[in-house]
Amino acid sequence: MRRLFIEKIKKTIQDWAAQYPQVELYLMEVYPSGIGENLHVIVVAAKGFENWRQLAIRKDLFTFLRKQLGDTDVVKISKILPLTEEEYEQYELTRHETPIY
Amino acid sequence: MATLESKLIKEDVATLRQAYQLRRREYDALHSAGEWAGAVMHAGMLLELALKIAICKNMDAIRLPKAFQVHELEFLLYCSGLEKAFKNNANLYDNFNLIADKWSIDLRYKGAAVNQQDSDDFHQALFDTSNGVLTFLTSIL
Repeated sequence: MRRLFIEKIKKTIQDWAAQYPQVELYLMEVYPSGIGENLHVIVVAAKGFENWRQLAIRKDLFTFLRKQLGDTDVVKISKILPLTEEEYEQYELTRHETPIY
Repeated sequence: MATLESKLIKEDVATLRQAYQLRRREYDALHSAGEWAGAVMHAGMLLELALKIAICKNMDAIRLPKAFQVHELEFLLYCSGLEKAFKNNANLYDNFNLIADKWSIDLRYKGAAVNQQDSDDFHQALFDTSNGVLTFLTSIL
C-alpha cells in the first residue's frame, strides 16, 4: 500500500512540474522518514529552480499536493525539499553525516 | 552505573519556560532589526524549546531526559504527543513542516543563508493568529 502511495506522490509531483515549462525534473526521492508513517520528499530539478525561492517552491508544491491528494494523505508528507542539481550534490555529500550537537 | 540524575538535563521545566521567554524577546529584537539569519536561527530554537516543554508536559516530568536533547524538530514533535493534533489541522502541520524542512541547528555555522522573505515566512508559520505553530503551542503549554 505504501509503495502505491509513493508512486501516487511521484506522479502528482510530475503533474505539478508539468504546469511550469521552465522546470525540468532531474529526480525525485520519496522515502519513509523513520518517524511514524511520515514520508520525506526530495525533488531535484535540472533547471527551473535556480531563480525560484526554495520556500516558495515548497509552498507551491505542497498546495498542489494537498489539492490532489487531500488533507488526510498530504499530512503523511513531513518534509518537502526542492533542490537544484548543484544543491543536491552538496546535500548528498552531507546527508548521512551525524548531526553536530 | 549511571544515576537517574545524570540522565536528566540540569534545568527544570520552569527554567525552560524562562529561557523560552528570553529567546522570544531576542527573536523579536532580531526580527525588528532586520537580522534575518539571526531571526530564523532563533525561530527554530524557539520551536525546539517549546517542543521540549511539550515533551515534559506529555511525560508529566519536571526535567527533560537527556535522550531528548536533540535538535530534530520532526522527532521532537513526535515525542511531544502532539503529532496527531498537528496532523488534524493541515494548515498547522504545513506551518510546522515549513520550519522543520528549512531550519537546522547547523544554520548557526552559516552566514546570510536566508533573506527577509524566508524570515517573514518563518514568522508567519510560527505566529499566524489562526494556525501559527507557536500560537498553538503556547495556548496549550
